[in-house]
Amino acid sequence: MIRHTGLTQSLLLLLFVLCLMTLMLASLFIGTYDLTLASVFENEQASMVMLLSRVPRTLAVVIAGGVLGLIGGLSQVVLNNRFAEPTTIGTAQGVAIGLLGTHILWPESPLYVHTLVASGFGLLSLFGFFSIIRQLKLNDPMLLPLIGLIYSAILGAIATFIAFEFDLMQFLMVWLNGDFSTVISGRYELIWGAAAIAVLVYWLANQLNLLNLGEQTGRALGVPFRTLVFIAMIMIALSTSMVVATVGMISFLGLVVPNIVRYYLGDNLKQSLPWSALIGACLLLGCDMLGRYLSNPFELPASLVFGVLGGCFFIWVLYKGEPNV
Amino acid sequence: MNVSVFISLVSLCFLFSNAAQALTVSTFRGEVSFPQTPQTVVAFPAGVIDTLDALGVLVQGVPENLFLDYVDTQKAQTVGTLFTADIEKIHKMSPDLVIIGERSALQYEALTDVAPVIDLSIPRGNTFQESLKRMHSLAKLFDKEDKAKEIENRLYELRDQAKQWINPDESVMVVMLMGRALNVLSSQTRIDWFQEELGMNLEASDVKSLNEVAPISYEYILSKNPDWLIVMDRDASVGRSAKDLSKEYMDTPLIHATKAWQKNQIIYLNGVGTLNSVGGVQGIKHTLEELIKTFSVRINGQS
Repeated sequence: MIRHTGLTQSLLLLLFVLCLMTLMLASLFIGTYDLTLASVFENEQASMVMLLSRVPRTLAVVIAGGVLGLIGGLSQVVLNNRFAEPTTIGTAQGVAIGLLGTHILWPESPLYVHTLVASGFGLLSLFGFFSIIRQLKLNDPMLLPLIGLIYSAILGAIATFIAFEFDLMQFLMVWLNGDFSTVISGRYELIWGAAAIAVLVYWLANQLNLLNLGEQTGRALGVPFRTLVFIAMIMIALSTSMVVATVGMISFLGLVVPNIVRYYLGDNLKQSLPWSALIGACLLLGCDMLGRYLSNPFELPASLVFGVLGGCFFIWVLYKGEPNV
Repeated sequence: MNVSVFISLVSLCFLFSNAAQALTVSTFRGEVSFPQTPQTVVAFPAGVIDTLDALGVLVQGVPENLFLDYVDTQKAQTVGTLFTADIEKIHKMSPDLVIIGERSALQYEALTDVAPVIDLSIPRGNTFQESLKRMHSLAKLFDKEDKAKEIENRLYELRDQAKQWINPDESVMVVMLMGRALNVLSSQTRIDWFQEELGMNLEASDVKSLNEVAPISYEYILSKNPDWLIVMDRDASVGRSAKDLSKEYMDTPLIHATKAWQKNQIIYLNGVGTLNSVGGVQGIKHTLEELIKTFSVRINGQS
């Protein structure tokens, strides 16, 4: 494991925080409506656009990117596998089934009810996945993501089937493809719940770190292993459903980002989680800005841009080989 | 390419063999002839079912989840979905004619083995005129030409009425709500006839690359600031959503700042006629009636 010294690391962190700040500032001035710094202060309509559209959108992207990066990192520790993230272990698909179900059965109920039911389904799908892998002796770390992908595909197929039967395919697409184009004040606030959970995860990071010990060692040392796993699962399911219900899923962000971070920083959650959140937020914001810029005055979903660029970025990081510090 | 050549050859053969009493119908894939008026008919496109209903032709087979509240399809059997027809069921029915088009057009190959199929997809450009053309083809085939003439006259009458209210100097933006996303419909989409036939000055019409949907943000609507805003909820139009959300989605300060909102010129249009029943004459009629009603109320209420 290669580790940076404390000083370079804090400098780097500062650099990335500055990078995120710059991106956020730039994001406030990219969009269809013509905005300049001066007009925001002089023109009433411009300031409204800034406050009701640009600021919420920027925050929503940063929160979604940060939360997904962080939750990916957490899932990887909980499952003790580098390839786990909500879309590869079926959580996002479970959430989608839940959202479809509430949409069909109780279409009139408010969004938070949909989200809570959906997170229940997300949790169920996580339990299902755990009970499957518990039955199996996994000697090869590659087996878990394979099972996860099969499991996700099955849940995804169920979701597709339901959506197809009720002609809700467009809805399913909307949930599984994250898009921030209609994020405005009053339509996205639920995602702050996911942000709160992310803070909670960071607060519990030292405890959650114990999951790295593995079940047997952990329990031998008196760690309430199952309780910790359970808490982590609830947090994963809740935050995934909040993100999916408000802006839609960004596949693989939670896979790519924590792996890049781990590559440099190792497995300590207290150390790696802020980085996962930071890089996730930077990447997603960059993608959303690019989507806004490229097809101006129309929109390109952030998930699409991320799918292309995030993949390339990941391959580039892998290709670069060993970090030389 | 090959397919269309083949089909035109086949239809040519038909032409020669039944030249005496053949009923020739022009379809999306060339002309097709029938020896006599078909008795058992299966139709997939909502627009065709709509038009046949208007002409008084009974359809025996319709797709599942058809959402046309104004057409009674109780007696018809369901024969699969728009994308996967129930081939066995259709085979059992042995219909004289299966009509496909638009979204169901891809099933052409699969269905040709079980029954005579025609593709009545509507070409883009002016959906209003193309719908009338399609109605006349169907009327000819089912011997309902008098009824068709009557419907045509009524539609032209309504069109002229609607046209009176439309000021070509005022811009109109048509927004479609789909899931959580907002999309602008340009004159390259199924509402092309709003511009071609009714003379609306549609927003985003200069954009060539747009065909089906162009996702937009609220800012887009505000920055284009149209005089009129027509909003449709796609999911409610195809019967997949309990309530029409378009009003709720437009109720935000960003839209309140537009000319359309301030002049009370937002029209919440039922999208069944344009988004679901594409090219159906009853759908067009309802759309025209709704437009006439709202335009006249808004304009009269103002002056």
